[in-house]
Amino acid sequence: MNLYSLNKISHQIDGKLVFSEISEVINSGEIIEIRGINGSGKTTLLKIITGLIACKGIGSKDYVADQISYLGHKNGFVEEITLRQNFEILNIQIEKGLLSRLGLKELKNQKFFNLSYGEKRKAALIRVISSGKNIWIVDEPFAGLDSESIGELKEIMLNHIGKGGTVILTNHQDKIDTSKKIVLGKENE
Amino acid sequence: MNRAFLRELKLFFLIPKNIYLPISIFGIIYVIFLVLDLDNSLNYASSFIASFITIFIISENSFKDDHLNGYLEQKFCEGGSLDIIFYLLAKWIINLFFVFTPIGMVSLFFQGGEISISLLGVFIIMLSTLYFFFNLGSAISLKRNNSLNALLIIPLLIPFIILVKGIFVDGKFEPNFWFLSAYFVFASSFIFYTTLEVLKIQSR
Repeated sequence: MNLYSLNKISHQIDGKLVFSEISEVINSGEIIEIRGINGSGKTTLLKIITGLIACKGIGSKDYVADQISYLGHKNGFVEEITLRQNFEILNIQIEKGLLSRLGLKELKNQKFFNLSYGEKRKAALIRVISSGKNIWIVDEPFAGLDSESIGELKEIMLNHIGKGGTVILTNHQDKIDTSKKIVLGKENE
Repeated sequence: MNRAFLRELKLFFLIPKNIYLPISIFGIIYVIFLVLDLDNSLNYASSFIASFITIFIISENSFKDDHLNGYLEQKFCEGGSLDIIFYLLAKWIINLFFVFTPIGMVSLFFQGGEISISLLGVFIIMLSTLYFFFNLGSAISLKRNNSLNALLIIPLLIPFIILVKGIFVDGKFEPNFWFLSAYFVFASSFIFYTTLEVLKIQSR
């Protein structure tokens, strides 16, 4: 099912062209990987897809807005309270075994500011995974994660698209074999 | 709406500063006025000034944490404007019950020893109006991290201050109350909507 169509979209920030003429069709059941060097506009393109930044040339079905679970560079969690309390205030029902799978089960009662960067990122990813939404839009989900967690996360994503979900992510680390790629600017190989 | 309300309610009680900060700021300023031993006719003025400064200080951080940790960006990307309307409403309702009402009751108690429902209503409308205006200032100054932009809002409050003076100092409840209510409607609609749009721009 077609979710988004990008038709020759271009974007400028303060008069500087960030990317131009990007065309792609995003369907359900796909992983879309936006790749590019730093400053190539990966995050901006994600925000355009979510509708936060207005841009001509992007079309989407009406129902997709309610189906988005988004994670930007920042985690969206309150630092002063524990991980468990953060999930509670957001009323998130975490899938059984997910915390152990990503190595966070023992950290539930830790204050969020005591967690490492990677642990915070995994907690934020758990929010997206447990959101019950079909379209996951995540900015650099693998940044700061160990290789074991990256493997688990890729498996969870593949499982999600297997159920008809969609994952749109930015990434400048190892490519995901099964993904459809949008490359912005020149990519360092 | 429920989700937003529950989040704000739980956060209010989980973070201690949300509870002690407004009451302690109000208390300290009020005690200063007590020590100064001003004329009795200035009683209402002192509680107004104490409330004004309290709302100004607590509104300064209304959105700061949620902006810095990326929560606002998430809300705009996931639920769009409707989610943010619920978020703003939930914040106001929590403050209404746990900040404005206690401050109003304390102020009226110290002024006359008895709490009149109509004066408490005026106090709550007054504090809510201030809150909406200062929230706009807080949203404007979100990325610059200073109070200068918030201070720009104060000229908009001049008519409001004249009306409050009319009610509390001159003792003319009508028509000042109806004008104050009109100002509250303006703050809770136009200023509320402007705050929403400013937050959206700041989250890009």
